[in-house]
Amino acid sequence: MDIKKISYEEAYNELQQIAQDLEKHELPVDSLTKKVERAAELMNYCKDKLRSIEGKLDDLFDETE
Amino acid sequence: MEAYSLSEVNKYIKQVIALNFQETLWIKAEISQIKESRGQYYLELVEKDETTDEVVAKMNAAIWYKSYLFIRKKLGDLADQILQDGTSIQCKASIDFHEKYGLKFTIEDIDPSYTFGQLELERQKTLQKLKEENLLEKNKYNTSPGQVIQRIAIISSKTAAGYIDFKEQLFTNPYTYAFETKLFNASVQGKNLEPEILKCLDKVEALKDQFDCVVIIRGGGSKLDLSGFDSYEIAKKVANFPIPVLSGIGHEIDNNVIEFVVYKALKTPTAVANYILDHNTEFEGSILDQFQKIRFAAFQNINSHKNKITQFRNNLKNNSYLHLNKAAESTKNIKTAIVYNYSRALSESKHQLEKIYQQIEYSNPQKILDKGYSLNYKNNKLVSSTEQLEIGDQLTSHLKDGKMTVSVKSIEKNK
Repeated sequence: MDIKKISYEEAYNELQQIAQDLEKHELPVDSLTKKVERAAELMNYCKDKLRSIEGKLDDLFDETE
Repeated sequence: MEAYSLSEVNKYIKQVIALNFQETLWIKAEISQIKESRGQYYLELVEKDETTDEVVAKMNAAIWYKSYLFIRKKLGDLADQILQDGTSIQCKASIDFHEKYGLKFTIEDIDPSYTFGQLELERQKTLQKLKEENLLEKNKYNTSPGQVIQRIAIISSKTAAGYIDFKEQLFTNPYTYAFETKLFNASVQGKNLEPEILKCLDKVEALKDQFDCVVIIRGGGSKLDLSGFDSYEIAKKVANFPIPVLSGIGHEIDNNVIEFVVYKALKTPTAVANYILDHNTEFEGSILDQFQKIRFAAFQNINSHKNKITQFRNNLKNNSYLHLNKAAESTKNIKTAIVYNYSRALSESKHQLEKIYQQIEYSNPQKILDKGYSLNYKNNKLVSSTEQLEIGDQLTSHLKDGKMTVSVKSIEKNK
């Protein structure tokens, strides 16, 4: 899935799934690397997203009643 | 027929009233309207039927400037909060009849505890009603802010200290989390509170997909100041709200009805901001935890692969040595076998040689000579048969210690 469209929930669930997969099975080294890379990507994505906002509603558009 | 002038009648009424109401009275009533003019207050007091809400009694009243100053001195800011449309009051009043202006109560004192009592009673009734309608924890159980709260609708007054505190706390957070906020401006005190907050809630509801939650905040205030938050209509709206509602409206929790119906009630706007930050750090913590787990599991996976390789290598090494050793062993065995066989063969041939030697020894003519036999040669040829002989032949006869020449004189053959 394109990481740009992932919600926090989806990212979290995917991380959880990867963790479970890794704990349960002994994966081939290649797919192990891919999974860990994906996990790092998801984690960094969430960390970045927590610190940046795409749309800026902000108080610029506050109503001045 | 005798008739009285109006002034005569009114004078009489005045006397009757004055005689019967010589002392002031404590009166319970609701202020249905209040107007202030040059420091004097003109009120319309009513009493409503508890069930039908219909007005069953009505009277005009006034607070003269001097009395107002007395009340103001006694109650402070509370005085102005009590003297509002819709407040139930208990007041000490004298009852006067004026020929020209009619009957009027003149209020000299107000007992605020009655007002609080009425508010409390009203609050309890509202809470009971909400409880019966199963609205008390509806917002809490039917909505969720999601893993992260980032888009926040704020219902507050632009100038409220609480609103500024909230934004300060939120936007200068040490985690550098980003937030989107949008203010929906509303009165957070007084009689406009209810309609304005309801209007804001409607607006937020229409944009509900753009927000993770809505916060209703204001700075601390007196009990009466916050009584607008006891509104049944606001509570009902909040209970049924499609996204979580957080409140930070006073310095004590569970004071106001709204705090029983929100997703989460917090003491202050700052506390609301901290709650949101905590919510997000909890999420970030959980993803970091997950990643740690993944890292750990990945290392374990890799180690397990490594161990397999090591094991494989060790097996390979051990097997190689085993094979080598076997080979060495068998080489040694072969050598032993060769040595053994060789020496056996050697001793055997030695033995045979000895046997041959002995045989040779046995057939050595000297031995025969030693025993006293002789060997006879005719023309250097050994004579072993009479057939070789003729009479007169000269033979050389070998004895053990010399030879002699022998002449054949007779030949006698064995029969």
